[in-house]
Amino acid sequence: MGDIAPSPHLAAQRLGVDVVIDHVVGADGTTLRLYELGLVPGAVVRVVRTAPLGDPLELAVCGTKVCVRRTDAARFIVRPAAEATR
Amino acid sequence: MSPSSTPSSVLLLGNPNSGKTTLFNALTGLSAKTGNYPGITVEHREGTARLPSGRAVTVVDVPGTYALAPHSDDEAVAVRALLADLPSTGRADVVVAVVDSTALQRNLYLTAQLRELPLPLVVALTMTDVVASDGGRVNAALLSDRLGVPVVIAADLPALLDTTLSAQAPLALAHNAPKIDDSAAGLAAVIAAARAAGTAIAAKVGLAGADLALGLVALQRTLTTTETAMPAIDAHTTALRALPRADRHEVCARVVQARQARARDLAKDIVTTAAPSTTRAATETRSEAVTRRIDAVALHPLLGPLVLVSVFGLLFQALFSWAEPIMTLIEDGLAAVTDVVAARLPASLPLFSSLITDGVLAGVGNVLVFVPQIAILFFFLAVLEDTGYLARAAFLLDRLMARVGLHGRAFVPMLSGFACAVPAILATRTIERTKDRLVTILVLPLISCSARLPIYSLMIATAFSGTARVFGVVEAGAVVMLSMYALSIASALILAAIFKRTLLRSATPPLVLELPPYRLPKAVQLYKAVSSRVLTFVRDAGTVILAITVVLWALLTFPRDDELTAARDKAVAATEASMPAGQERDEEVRAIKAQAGQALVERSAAGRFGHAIEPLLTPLGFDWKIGVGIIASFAAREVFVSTLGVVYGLGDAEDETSTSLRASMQKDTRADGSPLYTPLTGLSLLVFFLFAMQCMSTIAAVKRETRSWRWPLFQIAYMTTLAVLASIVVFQGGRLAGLQ
Repeated sequence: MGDIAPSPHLAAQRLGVDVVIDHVVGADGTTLRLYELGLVPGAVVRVVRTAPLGDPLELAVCGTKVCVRRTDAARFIVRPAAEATR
Repeated sequence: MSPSSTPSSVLLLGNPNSGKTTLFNALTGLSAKTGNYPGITVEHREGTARLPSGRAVTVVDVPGTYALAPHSDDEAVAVRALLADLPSTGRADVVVAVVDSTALQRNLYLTAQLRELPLPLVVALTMTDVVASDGGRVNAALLSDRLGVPVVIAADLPALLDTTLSAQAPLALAHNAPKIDDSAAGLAAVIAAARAAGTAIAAKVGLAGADLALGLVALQRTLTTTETAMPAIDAHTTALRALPRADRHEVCARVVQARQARARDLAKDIVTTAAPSTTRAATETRSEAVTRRIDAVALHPLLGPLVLVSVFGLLFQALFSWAEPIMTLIEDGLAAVTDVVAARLPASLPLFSSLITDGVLAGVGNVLVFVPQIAILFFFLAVLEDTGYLARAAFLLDRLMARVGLHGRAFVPMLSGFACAVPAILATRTIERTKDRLVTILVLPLISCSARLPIYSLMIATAFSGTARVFGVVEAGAVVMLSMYALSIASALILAAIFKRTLLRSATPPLVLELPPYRLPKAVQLYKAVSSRVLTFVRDAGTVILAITVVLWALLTFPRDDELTAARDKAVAATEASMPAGQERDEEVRAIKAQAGQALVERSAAGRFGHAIEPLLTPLGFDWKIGVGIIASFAAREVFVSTLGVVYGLGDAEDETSTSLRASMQKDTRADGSPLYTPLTGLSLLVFFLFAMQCMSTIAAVKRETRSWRWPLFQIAYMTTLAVLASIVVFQGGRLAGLQ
């Protein structure tokens, strides 16, 4: 443990730390598309880096790299990976 | 089915970057041809594959999609192909799910969705060589067991198609729909509506309604987010749309989640790595490490932008300078052809000769001259796309473009617009949403292209003599030139923001972008990407450009003045008879012809029109000669310069560096005797050309890309209005401020 996130959403995670998606607040077309790319509740995800201008974020999920904007990432509520049953 | 009857059709479906196009090229060789779907410009490709048994099959390749709930026109094609909603292809005899072994779980999502539909499905695994070189192994048999459909590595696909298409092992249309929790009352209602809709669709396309309905719940979302609605489904999903948005998303989310769980189960242990380990560093394969190392530089906070500027600097340089010699070569070659043809045309039919040389051949030249820039731009785009860098560029630039309300992908077309709007408009295809694409297309011609340079140069040299300096150091002309470019960029961005908020109102496009692993581009793929773009441009836009060239030729030629032509020919004959052959005589003949040309143009329809609209042009500071130039420059902006040459009686070979043309223009006066080309007139004309849509080739390209005359006509209207208003403001404002 020890990796307690400062805020429980994906846009506020430290770089390079695995977290698990818990649930999504306010699903819309964009979040559904992210669902299709593997960002579903229960999935292990990691913020790889932010773009030089601070937005968007690069995420690693399901062995692929996906870019999302901060506003979209902020709707994914996460919990530390240690709690996940992998 | 015997090999001699109609060939069976095979549809390839898969995620973007899944190796689908490589597989298609391997199957079909060079037989592929590109087609367009009506209403949209997304292309699908068809080719013939020869199977081991000698049987020929038609293979159809559609753009990649992550799911059957498409988010763009590109992706919608996959769904339409599946539903046989495509006039050319019909129902596929075999649907091949192309699955990238290096991203198995993500790829199997689409396969799981396809598996829910009663389709003749097989799975082809790609990138197995990458897995192997990383020391891993792919268990196709296990995946086949789990899916209940044949699974082979891509190289074995032809043999598999042979077996399934012959009667030996026909594919069962079994399907496997996911169970979803539909206990909530609202959810049940939505599903009931979807089922009803699905049954109605199924009656049309022959799929089992209840199962299609589950796909439809997700499918219908497409219909609300993209303009290319399939009319049939559109009608049936009205009921679904009436439901609260939150309910719909809830249903979709549950379906997607159930399917993701399935994809995860399917993918488990299919790919075994050489050294399984619990730490991340050890589980990273060699190919993943390569991508990570490149990205450490390409997406670095400081180095990343530097790489980006270098890459696009190179692209820009190529468009501007490398295309130039080839374009000159094409022009020279065509001039040579024109000379040969002109010499063989009967002298007794001067009008016919003129139509062929100045109309048709000039039109062919107007089309071909774009080929080098289009080829270079699409070569670069194909390299950037295939290597995976284009997605990185969109990632780096998204923040900037999002401010204007555009997608990161709009950057490449905007940049290309400085060279030429025509290839840039063709390049807008990478923009996913129709509205965002339209906004980009609408403002692209405002970016000052290279064809405006000759006009800018001529006007600045004529109206701003080189002596005037700003702050004692910088030439006034240089400041004007720089201002033109700044104004053009500002106007394009401002109008994009305006269109985005009014006419084509839509939210800033969402960014959901995959960063694929870096891969080396394949020569065949690059060749095909370039050749198909060039061919479709020449075929589709080329016909329009050719037609308008001939119309413009007619406007500048008719009505004829036989007396004048006869007098000219007589004078030429007299000169030729009286003077000894040589340079002096040639110049004399040229002068006579140029003078007659001036008179003929003034009497032509364009000349008369120029005179007729002179009162309208006066508030802008223009006279009829500029009017004729504007009409002629519709063929291409730089034609303005050569037309002024004709109008000033200097012949049609003058360019912007011609001192005699500048001198004639500087000597020209208004009715009251004041000089015509004052800095104020010059500025007015500059802003006119900055804003005006004086380019038939751009119109042809927009017509081709938007598939209607509506958008090009709107573009002409808004840009011409802007041009006239800007010129009036400059000229009248300048007058009020006491300038000449």
